[in-house]
Amino acid sequence: MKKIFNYQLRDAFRSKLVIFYFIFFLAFTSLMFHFSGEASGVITNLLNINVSFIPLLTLLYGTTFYYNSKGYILFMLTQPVKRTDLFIGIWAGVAIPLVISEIAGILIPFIIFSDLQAASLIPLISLLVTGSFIVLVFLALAFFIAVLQDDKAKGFGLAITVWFAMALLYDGMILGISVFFADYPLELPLLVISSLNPIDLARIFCLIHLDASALMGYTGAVFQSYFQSVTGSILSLSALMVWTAVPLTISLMRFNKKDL
Amino acid sequence: MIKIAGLAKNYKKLRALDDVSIELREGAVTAIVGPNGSGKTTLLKSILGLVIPENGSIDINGKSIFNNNDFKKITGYLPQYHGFPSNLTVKESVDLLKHLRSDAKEHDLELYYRFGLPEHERKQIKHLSGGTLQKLSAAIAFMFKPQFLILDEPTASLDPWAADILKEKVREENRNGVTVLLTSHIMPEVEELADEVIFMLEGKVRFHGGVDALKTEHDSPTLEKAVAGIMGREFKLCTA
Repeated sequence: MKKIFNYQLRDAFRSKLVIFYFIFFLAFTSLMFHFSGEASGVITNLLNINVSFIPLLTLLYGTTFYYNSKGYILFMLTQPVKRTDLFIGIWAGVAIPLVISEIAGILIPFIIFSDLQAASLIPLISLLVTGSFIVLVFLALAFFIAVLQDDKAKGFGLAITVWFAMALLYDGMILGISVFFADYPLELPLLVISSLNPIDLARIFCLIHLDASALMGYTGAVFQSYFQSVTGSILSLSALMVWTAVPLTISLMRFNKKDL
Repeated sequence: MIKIAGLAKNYKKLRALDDVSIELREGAVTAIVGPNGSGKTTLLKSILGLVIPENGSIDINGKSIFNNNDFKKITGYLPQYHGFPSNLTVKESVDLLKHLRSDAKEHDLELYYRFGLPEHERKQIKHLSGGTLQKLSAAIAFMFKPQFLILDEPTASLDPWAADILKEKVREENRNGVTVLLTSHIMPEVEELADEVIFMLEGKVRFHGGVDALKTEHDSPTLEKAVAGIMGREFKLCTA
C-alpha cells in the first residue's frame, strides 16, 4: 500500500485540480483579508466555501478520477498487488494532496496577513480540521459512488444529487422540522439528525470554536449548548471519522468482489 | 501449466463463459480467437483475477489463482490499453512496477532499449503517443522475466517495425520455455506466432488444437480462412 501511495502522491501533486485547490484557497483567503482584514470574518467566509463548494468539487473530482483511473486500476491488479492495498493507496494518494493544498492555501495568507493571536488560532485550526474532513468524507463518498455505479454519466448524476441533498435539502429539512415541531423539545432529535450529515457536523464543529453559531442557523445553536466542551469536539470529530470510514469500507468491500 | 476447468461467468442474462475447460500446454503459444463478445476478454480477465467467475477453477502450476496473488509474480501482462498514471514520467512508472515486483532480482530491459524508451524517460505518460505507450507496456510485460505471458492484442497500436521486434521477442521467450497466451484479431499474426488456437463463440470453446489441425479440418490454406469457415458454420447453425 505504501508503495502505491507514494507514487499516487507524486501523480496527484502534479494534477491540475490539486494545483487549482491550492491557488484557489490562496487567492480567496488573501482577497478576504484584503477586503475584511479581520481573521474571524475570513474564517466564516472560508467555512461557507468549505461546506458548499468544496463538497461538490471533491465529489466531482473523486468520481472523475476513479473513472479515469480504471485502466490504471486494471493494470495494477494484474501485478502482485492486493485489491485492498490498491484501493486504499489510491484513495489516500488523492486525498492527502487535496488536504495539503487546502491547508497550505489557507495557512499561508493567515501567516502573512494575520498576527495569529490565540483568539483566532483555535477557530483557524477548527476550520482546517473540518475542511480536511470535508475533503476526506466527500472523496470517500465519490469513490463509493464510482465503485457502485460503472456508468460515468449516472455516477456524476448521483454525485451531484448527493451534494444537493447534503448541502441544501438536508438543512431545509432540519429547518422545516424545527419550525413544524417548534412546540416540542427538539434538542436531542436535532442533535441526532445533524450528526447524520457531515456538512452540518463540520459546520457545527467550526462554529463551536468560532462563537458565531447564531449566524449559522438553528442546528449550530443547539449543538453549541451541548458541545462546548472537549467531549463535544471529540464526538464531532469521531462522527466525521465515521463518515469517512463507512463509505470507504463499503466501497472497499464492493471493490474486492467486483468484476473489473 | 495452466488448467481451467468448468469456468462459468454470467453478466446479468448474458452467459459470457459457459463451462470453459482448457489446459494450456507449458511452453506453447496459444491464441484465443473469436468474434467480439465471444468471451475472450472475460476468459483473459478471469485468468488475471480481474473477473470473479461463478463456477469453475483456474490452476497455475497446480495452485488455484483465486485469493492468491503469487501467480502474478510469474506473469507478464500486455494490456490492449495502457494503465499508467498520467502525471508520472516513464521512469517513475517503471520504478513503481520495479518496487511492486521487488522479488524479481533481474530485469529484462531488451525491449525497453530496442524500443528507444530511455529517451522518453523524463516525459510524463500523458505526453506520450499511443504507440510509445504500447511499447512501454510491452517492455514492462517482459521486464520481470515472466514464466507466463498474457498478451492482449499485442501489436494493435504498434508500427510494423515495433510489431516485428515484439513478435521476435515473443518467439525468443517461447523458445526459452515461456508459456504465452494471446488474443488477436489479426489472423496472419496468430498463424505466425501460435502453436495452438482456441476458438470461442458465445462463451464456449468451439475448437482447441493445433493451428495446422484447424486448417486441415477446414481444408483451408490459411488460418484466416479456417476461422472464417468456423464462424460461417456456427452462424449458419445459429440462424437455422
